Amino acid sequence: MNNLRVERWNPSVKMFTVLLSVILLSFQYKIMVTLGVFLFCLIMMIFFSDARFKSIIKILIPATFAALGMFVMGLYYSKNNSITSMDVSDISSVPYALRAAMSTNLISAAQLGSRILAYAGLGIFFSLTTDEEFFISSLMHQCHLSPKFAYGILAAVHLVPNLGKEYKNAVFAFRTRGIRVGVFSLKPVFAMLVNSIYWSENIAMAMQSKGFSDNESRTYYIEPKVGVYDILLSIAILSLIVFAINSAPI
Amino acid sequence: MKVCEAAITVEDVTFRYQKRVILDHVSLTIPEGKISLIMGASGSGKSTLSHIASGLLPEEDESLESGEVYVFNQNIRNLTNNRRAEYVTMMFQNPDLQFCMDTLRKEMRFCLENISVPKDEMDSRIERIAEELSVESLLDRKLFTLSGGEKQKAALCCLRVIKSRCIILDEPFANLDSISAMNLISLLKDLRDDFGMTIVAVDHQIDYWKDVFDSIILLGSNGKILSDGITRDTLSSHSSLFIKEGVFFPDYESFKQNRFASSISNDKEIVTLENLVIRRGEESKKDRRRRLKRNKRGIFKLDEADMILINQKSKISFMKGSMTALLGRSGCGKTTLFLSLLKQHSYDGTIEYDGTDIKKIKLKELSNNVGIVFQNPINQFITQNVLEEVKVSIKLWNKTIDSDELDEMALDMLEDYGLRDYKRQSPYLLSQGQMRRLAVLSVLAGGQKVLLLDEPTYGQDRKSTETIMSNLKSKMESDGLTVIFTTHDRKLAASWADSIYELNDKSFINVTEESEGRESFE
Ligand SMILES: Nc1ncnc2c1ncn2[C@@H]1O[C@H](COP(=O)(O)OP(=O)(O)OP(=O)(O)O)[C@@H](O)[C@H]1O
Ligand SMILES: [Mg+2]
Repeated sequence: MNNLRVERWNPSVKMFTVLLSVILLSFQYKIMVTLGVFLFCLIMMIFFSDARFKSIIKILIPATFAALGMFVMGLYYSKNNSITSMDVSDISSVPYALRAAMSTNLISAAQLGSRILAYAGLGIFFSLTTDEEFFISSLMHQCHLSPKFAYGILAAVHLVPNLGKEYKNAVFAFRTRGIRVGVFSLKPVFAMLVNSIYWSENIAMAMQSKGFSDNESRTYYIEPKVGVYDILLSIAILSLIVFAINSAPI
Repeated sequence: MKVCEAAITVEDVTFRYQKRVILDHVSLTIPEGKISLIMGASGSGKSTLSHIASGLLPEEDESLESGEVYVFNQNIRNLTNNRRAEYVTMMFQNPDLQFCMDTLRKEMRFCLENISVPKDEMDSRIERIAEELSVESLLDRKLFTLSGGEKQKAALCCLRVIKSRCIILDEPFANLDSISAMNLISLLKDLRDDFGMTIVAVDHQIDYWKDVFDSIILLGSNGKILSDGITRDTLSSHSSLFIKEGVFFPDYESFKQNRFASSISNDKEIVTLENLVIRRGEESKKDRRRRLKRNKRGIFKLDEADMILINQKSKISFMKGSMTALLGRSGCGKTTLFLSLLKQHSYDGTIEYDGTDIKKIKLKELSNNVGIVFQNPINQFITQNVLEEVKVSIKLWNKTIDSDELDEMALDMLEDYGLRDYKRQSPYLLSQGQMRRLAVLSVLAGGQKVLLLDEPTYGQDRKSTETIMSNLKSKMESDGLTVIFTTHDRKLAASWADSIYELNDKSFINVTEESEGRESFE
């Protein structure tokens, strides 16, 4: 069963597949396709990945709100927005032409909304099913990212969980010195940035001390490879999307 | 293997940062298979010298102004980083700034990748070293959750896994209690005795090293070698040189007389703690409830007792105008107590300031009365210039002062702390000891009535330690300042503090009397 996890899909190939899907989607307006992609992402995440259901939901909720917002906006503010102000209770009296116009409005609103959902789905799919270290290793091996950047990024990624604490520290430092800091004050942000520069210089030196050099050969503990299945999965998904775009009615 | 006499040879090295000469024609030989100690006043260039000796300075696009460095008879300039790491690696002054991965296991893999060890050998090599240094349990923990001592051990593991023949340690006992420090020393001793490793350490105090070191190199200003190859036998004849340089010398009792010099101005309690319970981490009420629930279901093993750092039943009072030292093992919660005193960490029980529960005092008002010097001085700075850093504090407390007077006052203070020459420098470009002095000074320049100082004298030479402590003392006498500081240095506590508490088994014990007799490191 473990073989069927999308976590094992080569992250670089996965990334290109997701990017290509986004591009494909941006050239078309079919609701069935966009919703289809969204559902596909959900299914992959729920059944074929270790992504936690809770984290999926956590990101999906704001995405759904954004999609709904887009939908409502499309409904009210599209080209013939005079329609929206009409009295809906009296719907039978609405002339056929107007009702038709409203339905195109509905469709274009649904298109906008569902597209947001599809993009969100793809984004969540990639971020929740990709281990950042595996991803960066893969960028090094498949996309020739230089080790200097790769390990720099990794070190920064490991810093991220501490950023909130650093910020709190900085605010606290100002306060204890008797200096007032407003909610939107940039002073602590600036102090935090200077701290991070200091931090990065020191880490870089520590890495060098441990024998890290950019242009010497090195071995790799994790060495992502691109296999036949990685490519096949990618081709299958992309052709499915292309096929759907060509054949879906709406 | 060919036996080399010298592990590192520094030949006539001159190095400068911008215009300032840091090392002036320094020559030095480090013998192989020995423990050598580099000592010297703060700012004398010890860290800079160790960076140069391990090939980390000058940076890639720069070069030394003069001189060469050889490691095991090879010019260090001709070695790539990964080849050089097999000869010499360095452990840095700040344990928080040496890892680029999030767990020790990954960090060790990173080291092995650097020196091109085949993938299949990595795991076994990591396991072996972890067993050797008995850190198996640390391998997969997140590095930022480790205590200071554990971090230092982890750093040592990385150097071991690379199999460097020489390691340079810059103040390896940063924030370690004596037990962890002794552990580290015995590890280092084994490395020398069993593997013939060359160990170079920078430290301000000999005490921990006194039974294991082979020779001491004493550095003067600009890295001038004042004395090379002081051995245990010849140490005593060098005492006057050490004292003249302001460096610690074992058993030299300089600040003895200061004890009880200050008479506590009155018997007024200024800060009191009662029934205090402080928990680990920034655990909110909600988190705690959730954790307890999980505990009941037996999913989460950490139990309530493990989460409690401090459980102080009896009342503790800090008297107005007195100096109190807090001792205790690293990671036992001294810093957290300070945070609680400033309402930055939740607690149960009562903390009172001047008779009022601090829960009823606004944060702003509280910090106008209680100041803090952080353990890590980097967290303290709020300006980009040494002079400015002090001026900000003075100005806040003397609104009417005119600018000439302000400058003069600030410069005088800097002079006292040996920082006047650096007034235009960024605080971040100071040496570690200088940084900490600036952090203390910038808070001392303010007018708070109570100061909490977290390891104020760590990494200071004797002279600076005395300056800091006697400045505190004189401010206590003139303004009725109350000082509470943490330290690992019992000697320091015994010679300066009016009362001493030790945090032992989660509560404070008054050890003032006990410390009288045995004022030594343990
Ligand atoms: N990056 C830098 N840029 C400019 N000056 C620096 C820099 N780093 C250190 N210095 C200066 O170089 C001198 C020597 O610093 P170094 O860190 O080597 O001192 P140290 O002997 O290790 O002192 P300490 O005991 O306080 O750690 C100090 O005067 C310091 O201000
Ligand atoms: Mg130093």
